[in-house]
Amino acid sequence: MRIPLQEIGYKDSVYERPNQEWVCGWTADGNPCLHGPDGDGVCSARAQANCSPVKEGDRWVCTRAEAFGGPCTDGPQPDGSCACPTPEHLVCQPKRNIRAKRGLTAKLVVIFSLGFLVLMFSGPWSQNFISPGKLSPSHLAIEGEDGADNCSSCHQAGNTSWSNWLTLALASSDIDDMHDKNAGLCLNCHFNKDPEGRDQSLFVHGVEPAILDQLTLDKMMAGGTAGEGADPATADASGANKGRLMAAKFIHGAKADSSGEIACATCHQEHRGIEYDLRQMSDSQCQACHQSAFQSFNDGHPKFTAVERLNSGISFDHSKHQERFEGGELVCRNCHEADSLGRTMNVRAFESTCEGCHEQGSKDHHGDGLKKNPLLLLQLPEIEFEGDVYWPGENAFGEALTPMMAMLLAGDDEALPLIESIYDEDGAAGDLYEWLVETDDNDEPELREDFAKALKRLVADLADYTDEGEQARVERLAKALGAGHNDPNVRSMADELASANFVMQSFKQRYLPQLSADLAGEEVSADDDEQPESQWMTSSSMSGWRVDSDEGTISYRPVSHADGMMKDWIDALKIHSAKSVPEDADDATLARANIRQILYGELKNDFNACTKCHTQQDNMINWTAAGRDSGWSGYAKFDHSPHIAMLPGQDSCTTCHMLNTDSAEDESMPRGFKPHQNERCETCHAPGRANNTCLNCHQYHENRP
Amino acid sequence: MITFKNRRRWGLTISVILGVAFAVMMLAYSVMLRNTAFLSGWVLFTLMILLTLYNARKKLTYPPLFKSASWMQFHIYAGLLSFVVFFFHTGWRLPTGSFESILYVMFILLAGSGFIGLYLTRTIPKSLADRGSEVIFERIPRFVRELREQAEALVVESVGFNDSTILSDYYSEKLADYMARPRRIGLHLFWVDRTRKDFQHELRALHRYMNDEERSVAEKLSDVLVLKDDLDFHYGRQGLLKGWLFLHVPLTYGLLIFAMAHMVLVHAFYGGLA
Amino acid sequence: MAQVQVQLQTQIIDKPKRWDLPFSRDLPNEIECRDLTEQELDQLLEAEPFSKMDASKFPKSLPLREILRNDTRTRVYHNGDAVVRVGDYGNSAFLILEGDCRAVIEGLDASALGRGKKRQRSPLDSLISLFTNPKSPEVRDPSLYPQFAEGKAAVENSASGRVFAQDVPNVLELFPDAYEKTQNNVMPQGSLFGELGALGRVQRSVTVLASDPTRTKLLEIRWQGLRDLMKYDGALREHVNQLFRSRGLLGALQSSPLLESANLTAQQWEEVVAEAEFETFGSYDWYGTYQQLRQKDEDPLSQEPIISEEGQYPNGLLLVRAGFGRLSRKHGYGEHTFGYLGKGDVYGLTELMHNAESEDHMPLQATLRAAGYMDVVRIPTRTFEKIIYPSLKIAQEKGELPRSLSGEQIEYEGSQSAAQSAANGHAEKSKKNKLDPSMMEFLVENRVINGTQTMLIDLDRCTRCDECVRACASGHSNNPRFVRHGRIHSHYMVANACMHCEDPVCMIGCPTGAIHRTEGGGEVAINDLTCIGCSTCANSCPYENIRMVSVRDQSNEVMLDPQKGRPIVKATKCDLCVSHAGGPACERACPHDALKRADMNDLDFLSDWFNR
Repeated sequence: MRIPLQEIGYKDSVYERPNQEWVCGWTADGNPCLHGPDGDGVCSARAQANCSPVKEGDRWVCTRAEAFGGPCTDGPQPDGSCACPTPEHLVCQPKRNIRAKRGLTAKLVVIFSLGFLVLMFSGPWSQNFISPGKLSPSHLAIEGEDGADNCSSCHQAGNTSWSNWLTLALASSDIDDMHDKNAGLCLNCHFNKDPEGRDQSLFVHGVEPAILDQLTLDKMMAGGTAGEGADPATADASGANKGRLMAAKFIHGAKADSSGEIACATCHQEHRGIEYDLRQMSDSQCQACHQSAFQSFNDGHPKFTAVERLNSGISFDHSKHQERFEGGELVCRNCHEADSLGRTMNVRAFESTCEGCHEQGSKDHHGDGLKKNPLLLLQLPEIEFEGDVYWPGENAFGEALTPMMAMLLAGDDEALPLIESIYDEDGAAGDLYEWLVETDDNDEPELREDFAKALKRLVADLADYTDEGEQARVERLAKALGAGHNDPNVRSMADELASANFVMQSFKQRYLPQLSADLAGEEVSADDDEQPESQWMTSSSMSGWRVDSDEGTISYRPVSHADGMMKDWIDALKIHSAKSVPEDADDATLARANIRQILYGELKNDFNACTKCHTQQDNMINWTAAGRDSGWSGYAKFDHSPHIAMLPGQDSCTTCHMLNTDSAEDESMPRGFKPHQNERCETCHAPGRANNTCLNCHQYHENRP
Repeated sequence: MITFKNRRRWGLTISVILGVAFAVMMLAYSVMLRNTAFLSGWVLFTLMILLTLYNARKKLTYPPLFKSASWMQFHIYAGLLSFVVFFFHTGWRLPTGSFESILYVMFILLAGSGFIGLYLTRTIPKSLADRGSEVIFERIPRFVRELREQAEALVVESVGFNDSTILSDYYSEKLADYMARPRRIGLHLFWVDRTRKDFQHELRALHRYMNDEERSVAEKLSDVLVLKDDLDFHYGRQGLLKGWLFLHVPLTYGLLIFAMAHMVLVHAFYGGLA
Repeated sequence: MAQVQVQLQTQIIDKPKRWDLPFSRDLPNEIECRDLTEQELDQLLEAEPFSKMDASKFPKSLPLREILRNDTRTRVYHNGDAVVRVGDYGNSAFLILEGDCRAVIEGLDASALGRGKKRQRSPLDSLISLFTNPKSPEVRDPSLYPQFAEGKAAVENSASGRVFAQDVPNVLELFPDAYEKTQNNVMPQGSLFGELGALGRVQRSVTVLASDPTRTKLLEIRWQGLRDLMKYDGALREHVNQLFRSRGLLGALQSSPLLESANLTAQQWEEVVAEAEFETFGSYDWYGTYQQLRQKDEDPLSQEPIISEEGQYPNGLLLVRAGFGRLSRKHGYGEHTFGYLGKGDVYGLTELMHNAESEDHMPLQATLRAAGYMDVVRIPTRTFEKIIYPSLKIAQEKGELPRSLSGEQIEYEGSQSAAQSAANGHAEKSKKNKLDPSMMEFLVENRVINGTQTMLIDLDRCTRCDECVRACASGHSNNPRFVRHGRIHSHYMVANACMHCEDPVCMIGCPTGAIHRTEGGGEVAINDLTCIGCSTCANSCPYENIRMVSVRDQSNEVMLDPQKGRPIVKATKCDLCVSHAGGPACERACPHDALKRADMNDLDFLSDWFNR
């Protein structure tokens, strides 16, 4: 038997009205009324409980419809007004239909959300509430104890009220612009000491765009690292990277990246929680700007070029030396040791390395020139005078003008013209004897007297141990070298001379005892000097300053390898003879520059012993074996220690530093090594093994914030 | 006329294409070190607005703005896309702030309820069509009443025969409550269909205590029970079809409000100090 | 009436009655609408044919004079005005009082007839109405109701069939050789026309133009009036029936697409008309028997008169003019319904063509029954073979023969149909129209085939969200006009929404003509102002798609009639959103493509839709 539930006849089933918000209160009980409530939820039965009676004959009859309770039993009032009682069994409290309930829920949710937000935003907890996450450890201090109680240190809206945020939001249009504003705030702490770095720090790599472009250009010219595949799209990149680069290119078109500033937040994004490492970057972030694009270090990274070509400052061809060692093998650690951090391998001191073999050389460490005559400081020349001049007669038998004397005299304004004439190309050309003869021929005896005077002044200055003397010497050196009083060479030379002070005094005592009086202008004669009977000299084996009464000289003999005096003297000549002098400088300056060059020309061969090993570059002499990072790209870094730890055995170094043993020697590889090979690194620095990201070997910031 | 199968195929293809296009865009932006959050954020918000507009369309029945069905299709696939965009926007990681966490949860709930709703609207109607007689949800209480009255009438009739109270006792202790209103909804939602069998067995078990008239009445009664069972089934499932919207719709507006607050915040706090 | 005025406050209005709104007042433009004066009536009664009528035959309740007063009106047309237009649905017939008219069979294009001009709200109005809808159900403005809207006729939703002169600039001028086009059938004074459409609920078969140089005065009689006149006056009845056959026949033949495709000469036409017969099967008010039949579930076939039977010799070509026929074949011990015929279809063509060209005779392949009632035109076999076949043959070879005409609409998957389709070279036909036979049975049995806008709901997709109902309500001042339930077959529901039937039986017996076909579109609509709530239509509708509602006034109170205190009820039904742009809202509002308004004659569409 099937009982049809749903009758569809028009009498059995009235319109269902889901569009009506209110339904009859009896619906739930299963017997809703016929009409249902009206649109405002008023029960029709209640609204129309009353009828409007009509008069039939002489009596009023109730006309209430069945739907609303039917005619009432008692009927209307005599006066014709309705007296129907409310039909309680019909009257209901209408209810909302399911859809209306849903609408109501939605409204409530909206109200609640608004209320909740207002509450959270306005309360003291608002900053904590809206904080998108904890700061990284290095910035935790900014947060303060309560989590986020001073957003304002980085955010404009930080300590304004929530009502203000909207205006700010509308105001902040350009995102990049906002970036920069933020960056400004970062710099308040980073770079707060170094204003220079600060200005550049927002540039790419923290260097002037122009410089960076130049760098890129050079590389590209050199076909070097950054140059290959300048066009990202055509770079030898494979797979996903290719697509990525295509996309990059697609958008790059509009925006040139190397110029302009990049905000810190571009790469360092905060509020990522306390574990988040602000400095961790992805390779793709580097690739964003770089002209040369490649998949990874293991795939397409440019070949190493620079490292092994570099001259370390001491020219030392490892491959050459190898066979000279007994057993023909070179033990790296004999000469090299890691620095305190173990990052760079330094060369040990000369004494503990080279001297082993080069002992002899170091003992009598004279250049070819110095061997014959040690560095000659002072010797009074033999001069004949017309009139009587205070001049040691028999004890002055020098013939030449030593370079150091010439140099010191050149520092004396009055003596300068004399020195000039002595070194005149067409004249004496530096030969003192020649010059003296000339003066005789030209019958200019006063020049000889002036010259003697200049020498005496020099002696006086050298012998003067007071501050005035010091001043005078510095003065001379500064003038002679055409450098400032604080020039390092001037200073060090001055100190060296000061150390020679006592020798000078005794020299003065022996040969010009009455010098001070003479310079004071009194009448003194060499005949009055009592002659010292004893010989006065220092042993030939002795090094340092020495006098020789036979010769009547003061000379210097180097103490040992890396002798200070020699170093300074060579540096002084080398550096100051090479430096250029402006054309329009005064005669004196030009003259001295000329003299310096002449002197250096005379002397430089005397120092071959030094420059054999100590390489020279741009007017400098490398006295020390320079650190590895000199001359590298500033953006690369290498730490030896982990590698040494990884590599077993004595000769572990040679796994990377391979001697270039084959006979054909490579000019470009002065240290006798083969060029580094990427493969060496790639064997370990590969995906899944050692770190092979860009930042493992490169650093972005030229000077660290 | 395009078949549903083809329409689905088209919809999916197009949305996949759009999704990939968006992903590439994101990638390109990140490659350029540009901030992707703003792009994805605005895309997401636009999608949300479009999705919400469907409700407005439902209210405007006459203006010629596409068929509601077309909107529905758009709603489904746009919803799907917005889900993808959402994960790009959140950077595939959980939020760390409290406000953002709330946003996150709300969105997940909204999208989730959407997918559930889609599943329900595609599955339940079939089950409804397959079982019982089609009834209008609002009228179910009335039919329950009618069935109850029928059942009670039958029971009274049974008492008529030599005052046996077998059926009436059984009814008053077992069935009265069951017939009172829609029951066992939970079971019906998961297609567990035991109720009617239980009752029928119990009734059959009572047969041995009855005479023929009573048996015939019992038969009729079990028919009524079957109808009631179907009715409950319809009540539960149609109710579910309407019920899930109680989550989906209100959440929509809540989320919109929170999202706008979020937008104000990020824009305001992006600026740093002027 | 004073009393009514007094009671206006309490919004109790007189129970509407027939003739509350006389036909002469039911006019859109104020000028024309007026009561017929007494001496006008006198003139009418003196003139033919009313002078011949015996007033005493009329019952007290319906005196002849009152019928004329309330169910007729006089209209004046000028040279070239269109009185009725081909294809329109009209509810009235016309009697020529002065001047003459001309029936134009063909050659008038729609624009000339001012087609496509429906009284429709602009989208903006529709939009606004969404927000101005009353909150309560079934709210009306009582002041519009004629019961106390004295002297003011209801303007909205007028049922008048009038085409305004400005719609049609002088049509005869458009057609200088109008006489040839119109085939010279001038209708002189005193002749009656339009009764076909009025009584048969079919579209007007011809366009009639006023062609009197001075003026043409017509008496327009709404079909309720005509019906009564015919009932009580034998002469008129005879006259009308005679017209009915002759014109109907001609019209039917000329409107048949099949005969169009076989383009006949005028002389051939005459022959065909002479030979063709006009037959009616079943009862004109078939729905009555049908409803009884539904009560006691007998075999419906037994109730349907057989028109011609399977296996018999095809003795003629049948053109369906109106009504429906069921196509069935013997299957096992019973019969199997595999299709149905509607207006414009033909039956037996396949067999006749086959027999005409070959010796071995193919008997009829299917039984044709009148489902409800059926008007057919029978063209005898010999006439067919003599006149129509040759030209059809040419057309067929040219491939111009419309497929839908080759007899049966649905091919029965079986050997015979294969043979048939081979025979009439429509092999591809058997591939399509995969309409599940049981579904077919269902449609025919429930007479759903009658519908041109049947609401089908796919219950596998319908989430019962009621969006359709709410959309419907939004378009009808917050009132739904259908109920989301109905007869169900497998998972398809034929919802209780007006199907806008081919044969709208609901219109039969409406005392006021409130229920009518709209101009042009032919949607069946109810004029709320003239509806008196007698629920005749609701009872007539075999599909329970018309519902009586008790109306409220603007103060949300249900209006009551003063005497009995009973609520005032009005008949309501789906009007296909005729007053809104964009078609039925229910269909557009369905989010899941579950709901469709389908034309049951478009089987290609149906089968597609059922097999989505």
